Amino acid sequence: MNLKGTLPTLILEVLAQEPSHGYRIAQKIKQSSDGLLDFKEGTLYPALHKLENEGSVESYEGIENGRARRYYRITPTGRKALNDDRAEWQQLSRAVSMILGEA
Amino acid sequence: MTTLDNWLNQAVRGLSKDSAEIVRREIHEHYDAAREAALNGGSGPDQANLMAMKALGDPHVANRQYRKVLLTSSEASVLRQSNAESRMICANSWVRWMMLSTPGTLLLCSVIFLAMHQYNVSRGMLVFGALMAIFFMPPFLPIYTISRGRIYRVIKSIVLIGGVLVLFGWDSRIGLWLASCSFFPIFFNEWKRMMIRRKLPIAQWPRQLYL
Repeated sequence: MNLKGTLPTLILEVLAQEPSHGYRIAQKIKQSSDGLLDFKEGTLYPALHKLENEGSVESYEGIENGRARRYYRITPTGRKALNDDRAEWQQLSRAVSMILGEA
Repeated sequence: MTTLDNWLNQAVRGLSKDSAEIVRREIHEHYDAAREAALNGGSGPDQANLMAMKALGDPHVANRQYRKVLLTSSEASVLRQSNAESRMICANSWVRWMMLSTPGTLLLCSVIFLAMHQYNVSRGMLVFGALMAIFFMPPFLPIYTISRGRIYRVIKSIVLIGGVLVLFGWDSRIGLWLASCSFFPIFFNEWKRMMIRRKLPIAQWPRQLYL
């Protein structure tokens, strides 16, 4: 399924639960959607950099299984953006459901 | 050369050295994690490599997206160049003195020529002085916050357009073309700086990005 434009919101949603690294973020998005939202993982990091530039997430070095990993965590700005995106998505989803339900 | 290296070479094309290093590190990390997960899931080494590569997707698409968020080599070069210019202006006291005094001198001469009814010379000096002031004096002004930077950039645009209007009057449309061609390197740098501002977090902005 195409998730163009929604990837940053999905990333923020995953990071709102706990700080995570790129691979785990990708897996969580895929697992949470039962594999419906499938995307190429090479495009995950540009989205993470964009969020970092906007101040929505921040990154830090962490260790997992003895290996250095770059972790990302959500910032207060990111939480606000996520709440706005959630509200917008619910409105849009309701509107589309109303139209499709009537058809 | 491994398939991952090929993928990375295409994904980092056109990016600055530092950006390319960031991409290489994060994709390597990701690839290792994906490969490890596939191996733990019971796949053979070749199958695990293939799965990890397939999950990364098209390197050209990744490259297009990376170029939107990380510094390209040309942007990094603009940043380096303007750093060097700022250092050169601020480090040499005679250059600093000249940069600070010339616009004022030109504006004073403009008033003198105006008093002598030499309108064209006066107009030229006024515009030249204003342009010098707007481009060369900012390193000495306290412009180091986003709002001050925005105010400065608005004033700069007004002075540029106003300069063309004052110089060319009714023929400003032609003048704007002439100015666009003559000042192309300045406009190109301004455009690049605008791109850099979008890509660098504010905490990492060097001083000249505010200007």
